[in-house]
Amino acid sequence: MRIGGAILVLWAAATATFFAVRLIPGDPAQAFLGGPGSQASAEALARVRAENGFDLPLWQQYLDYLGRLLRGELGTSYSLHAPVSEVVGEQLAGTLELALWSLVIAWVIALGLALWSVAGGPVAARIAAGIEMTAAVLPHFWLGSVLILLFATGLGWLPAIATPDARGIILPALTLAIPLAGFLAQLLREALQDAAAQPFVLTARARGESHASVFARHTLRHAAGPAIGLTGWAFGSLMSGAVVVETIFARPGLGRTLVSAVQVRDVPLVIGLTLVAAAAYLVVSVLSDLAERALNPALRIRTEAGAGA
Amino acid sequence: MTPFPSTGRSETPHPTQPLLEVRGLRIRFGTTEVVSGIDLRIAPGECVALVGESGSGKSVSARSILGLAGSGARVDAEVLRVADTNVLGLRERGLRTLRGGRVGLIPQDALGALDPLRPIGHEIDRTLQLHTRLGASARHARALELLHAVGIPEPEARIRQRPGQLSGGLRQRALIASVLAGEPALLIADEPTTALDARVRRGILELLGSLRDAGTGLLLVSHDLDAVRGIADTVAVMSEGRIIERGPAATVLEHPAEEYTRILLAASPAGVPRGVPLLAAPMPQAIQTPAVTGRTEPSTERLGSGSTPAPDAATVPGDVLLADVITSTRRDTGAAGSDPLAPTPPSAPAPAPAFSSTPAPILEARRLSKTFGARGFRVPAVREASLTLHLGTTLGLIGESGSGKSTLARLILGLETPDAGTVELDGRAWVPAPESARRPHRHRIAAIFQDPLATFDPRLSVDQILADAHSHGRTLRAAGWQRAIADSLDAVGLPSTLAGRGPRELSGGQRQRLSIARALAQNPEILVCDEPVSALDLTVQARVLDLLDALQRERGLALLFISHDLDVVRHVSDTVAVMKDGEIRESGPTERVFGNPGDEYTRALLADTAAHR
Amino acid sequence: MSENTRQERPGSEPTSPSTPPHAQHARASQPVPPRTASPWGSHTPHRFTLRARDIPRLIAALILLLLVIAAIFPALFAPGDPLAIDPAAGFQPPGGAHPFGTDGSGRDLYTRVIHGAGPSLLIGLGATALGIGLATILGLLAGLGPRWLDFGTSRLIEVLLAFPGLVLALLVMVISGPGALGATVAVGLATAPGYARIIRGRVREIAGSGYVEAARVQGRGRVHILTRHIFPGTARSLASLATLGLGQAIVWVCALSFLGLGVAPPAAEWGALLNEGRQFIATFWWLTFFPGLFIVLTAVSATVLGRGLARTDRSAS
Repeated sequence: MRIGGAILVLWAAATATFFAVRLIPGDPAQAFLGGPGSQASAEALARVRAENGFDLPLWQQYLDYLGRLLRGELGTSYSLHAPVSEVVGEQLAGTLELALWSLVIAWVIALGLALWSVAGGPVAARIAAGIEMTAAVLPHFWLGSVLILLFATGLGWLPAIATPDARGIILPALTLAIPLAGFLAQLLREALQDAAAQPFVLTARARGESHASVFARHTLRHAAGPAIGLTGWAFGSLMSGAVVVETIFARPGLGRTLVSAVQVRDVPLVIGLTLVAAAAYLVVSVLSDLAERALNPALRIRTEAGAGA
Repeated sequence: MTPFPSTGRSETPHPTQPLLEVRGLRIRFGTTEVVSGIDLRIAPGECVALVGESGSGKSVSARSILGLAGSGARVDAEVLRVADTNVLGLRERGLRTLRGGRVGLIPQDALGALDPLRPIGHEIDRTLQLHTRLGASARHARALELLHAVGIPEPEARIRQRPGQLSGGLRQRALIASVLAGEPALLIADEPTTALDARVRRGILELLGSLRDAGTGLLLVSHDLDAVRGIADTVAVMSEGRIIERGPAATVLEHPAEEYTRILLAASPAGVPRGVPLLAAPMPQAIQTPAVTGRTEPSTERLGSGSTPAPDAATVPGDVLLADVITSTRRDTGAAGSDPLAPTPPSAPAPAPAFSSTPAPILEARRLSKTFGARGFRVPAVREASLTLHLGTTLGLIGESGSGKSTLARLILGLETPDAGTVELDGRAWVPAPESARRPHRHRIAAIFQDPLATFDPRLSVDQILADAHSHGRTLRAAGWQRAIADSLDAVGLPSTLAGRGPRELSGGQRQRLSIARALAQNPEILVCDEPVSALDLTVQARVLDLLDALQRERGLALLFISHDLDVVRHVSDTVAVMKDGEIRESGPTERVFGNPGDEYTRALLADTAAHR
Repeated sequence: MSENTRQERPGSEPTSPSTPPHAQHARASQPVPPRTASPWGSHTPHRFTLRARDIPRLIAALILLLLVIAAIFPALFAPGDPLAIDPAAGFQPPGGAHPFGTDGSGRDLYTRVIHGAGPSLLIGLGATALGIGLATILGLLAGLGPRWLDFGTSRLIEVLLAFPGLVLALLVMVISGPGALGATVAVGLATAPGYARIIRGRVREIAGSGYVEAARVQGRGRVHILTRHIFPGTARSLASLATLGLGQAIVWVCALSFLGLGVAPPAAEWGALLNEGRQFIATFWWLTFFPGLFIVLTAVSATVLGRGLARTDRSAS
């Protein structure tokens, strides 16, 4: 059911992109051959039309498009003159690596910040709230430049441009992780505070549990569920950030490819990359949702009752 | 009831030494003192009840025995001793052995007090881990034993269930089992029966009683004097951070020395005939609710005894003003005819109001049915329910939670469409009918609800709410309606100084008064009251009930009064209907139904309520 | 990741358009202090008591006010010409006559940043207005319309939310083409689904509230309920949403300019300034640092202020 829902959303997204792209003025065959400036011959245009099915009725083009999607074909890039699926395959690993590292770093920072602010009393909570909020709104493009300025130009510890070795991923991953950590920490802190104010905490204390034990057995579990359920959203926001970060650090990946594709208006490539991003977001969402459910049986019960009602 | 194995480890070196001794306990939050020097003493096998209204400081006092008064609390006492241990001298480690092991706390509200994510067995297991040396399998066996002992059927299945899967009564029992696991010699129970239905309440009280008989000391914290009847040996009445009266339960309950205690007792509608105001006596100072601004802050300023004269009317909160109005009218019965609030003098109980003899009912519901849900998961909420309502009379609708009484009210109000059945208003079709046809007559049926706050738009102030009601929604400007607003506030006993406030800045009783004022502004003939007093303290409840009665007489209203509380229904109703599982099991004149119930379920309900006193 | 979960969550309070669904915590259960000030229809006498927690909000409002003044009258703060070149003074570090330094053509960066406030804020405002406007229409349709319309609109919102925000903006840019207008439209469209979900939640929350029910019992008609309860209640949330969204929109538009898709140099817009300085990150740091600092300042101020508004809104409902 949940997976079915995700597939439906993906289909709708593909449909929406297909029709949205028809809004682009001009002849797609012309665009394929390098835009109006390329002065393509009439024969070349006709050949491109026939090859890409631009001369077929819209519904047939749509069905062809869906059929190709099902087979994993995303069309041919105008600018790279290569199948989009191939381009995606080449660039996917870099972006995934970056996103995963950022996710891990963000969780570590967020957890540390949230724990410190909960343990440190009201003043710490205040300071943490300020840090979190500022971190959450920091734009990647600026944060990236400042980090380069500090650690690459200034201290010379790390390379400014992404290098293939492990050191090269540190600055890009940090740039992505810090704003996300701000968001996650805010959420986690509020969830922890909410959980700590629940009456069952009094019950636990009254039977002689220590603060640490109450935290481990009750509070953390209540706060962790919603935070884990957020991973899908976090992953989506990382995909957004990757567009900027990969550009700053000249790191190969889906994001940078997407930017250059938009710059040259390489429509099939843009569509392909966008759909891959949406699919990745949906997959992670489904997974994180399942994880949240596994952690909170009450949620399962509620959904079952909701499904019956 | 199964006897409790080894309850109350022998804590007492001397048989005379009390389990708990408290002298001069003071608790402060910041600069506000909420408990101002109270004394308590509990011997093994003794039950002391600490009774007071919300905000009196009783819960925080009880929790301070465990060092759990709260993070911002400053606790001082001359003596605060559990058996021979000085609690104030304990550090965190010592407190942890005390908590659960020697003193058990059953917190308020079992639903919130148990972690919804953890099976109840885990909670019991944790107490056993902390306070015994039993191995895992022995703990499991002991947990089953405890669940059985507190009266939970099929412990093997229940031990794996989470609080959300248990009924309210079973939850409370499971909570008690998790506390008993530590075999505490002293048990503190904070409002253990409050949110429970009568029959469940009786079971819990029996359980606590058997623990006391087995030698456990019991500190029972409650807002309801009646609820402690039959179980408490000693009663201490608390108000504004002090114990104002203390003594053997029989003496305090039957012959209270203090005016405040008398009012607390009088506030209970149990056994008070229809039409007799509950609070006839003038209000002493101590009972006055401070003017509430958002959050009630316990104040120490008003601690003076009842001798000070009533403060200026402009500053008196509404809950008190009406009582004064009523008493003053009562003293001056000659002028009652012209007084808008004239109740019949208590000496002469009201004859049945003239309206009730009107043959044609104002509202008649016939065989209403409503089912919720869809496809294989259908829950019938109301089944073929019929009601008849006459002007000037009150029809009480009794039922336990989930019996469908609120759904029936919503059907009658035209907020839900019934699957079958009709409602006629004054002989004309009311339900089913198109909303456009109903709207011109909507003003004839008004309603008040259990949670009045939710029924006020938070953006509007008291005078805007009333202006809207008086102008039938045409304006929010109080300008043209000053007179009507003032009369409205006056009629429900709210001071005009509240006009500019938001509803969130009022106390619970004031909010319900405001919702009554709004309902009356539309000049209704019928007032549907859905659990209007169940969220209120007993004395506030008494004043709202007195107000409704007075207003009914003045305006000849027909009241549909819905409650789970038999005593309340019996006090306010001319006729009653008993509802269970969506069906009306029995209906008729109040005294007939209560005196000679025809239905088995009604009999059981009455027996449960009677049993605990 | 299905519709059920989204609807179950108490995600109806405005926090931030970019805030994930779960982030919108139901904090209504907290005790509410008496109101001292509320932006609309305040019925409590306005008491000017400044509490410590109000100070950040006050500073944020002041910064935004200064920025707005700079946007309208840039000459007040920087009388020079933002495009005046002085090749002799290229790449001057900050200090002396050039507090923020100069670029390769010797243009004064401070003057350019101040003059950039106008276009940057205007584009941000435009994108926010477009996003909120679209979202309000979608949210009201879904929140008030018949069940099928709610179903359709909610699914549309859900589909759009499956695209990561900036990726959706890039998709729009491929259709609308690069440039200031394209970037504004792209950011507006890309933020709309997030707002729409919040607005729909708010509308449904009010429509299902006890006070709307009370109004029905009193015999009030649909129009009355809409104009007296639902529209004013939603408007309050919109105000805080828009303030929070302004910061977000400026950041996104600048990101597009930074990527070379929005406003093109030599215009003084902050994102364009960043784009210009991008290649000199390692050598002439001030070229990206100062325009970026202004973007951060604006975004943080808008967020602080928007949260303040959201808090008063929450405590009122």
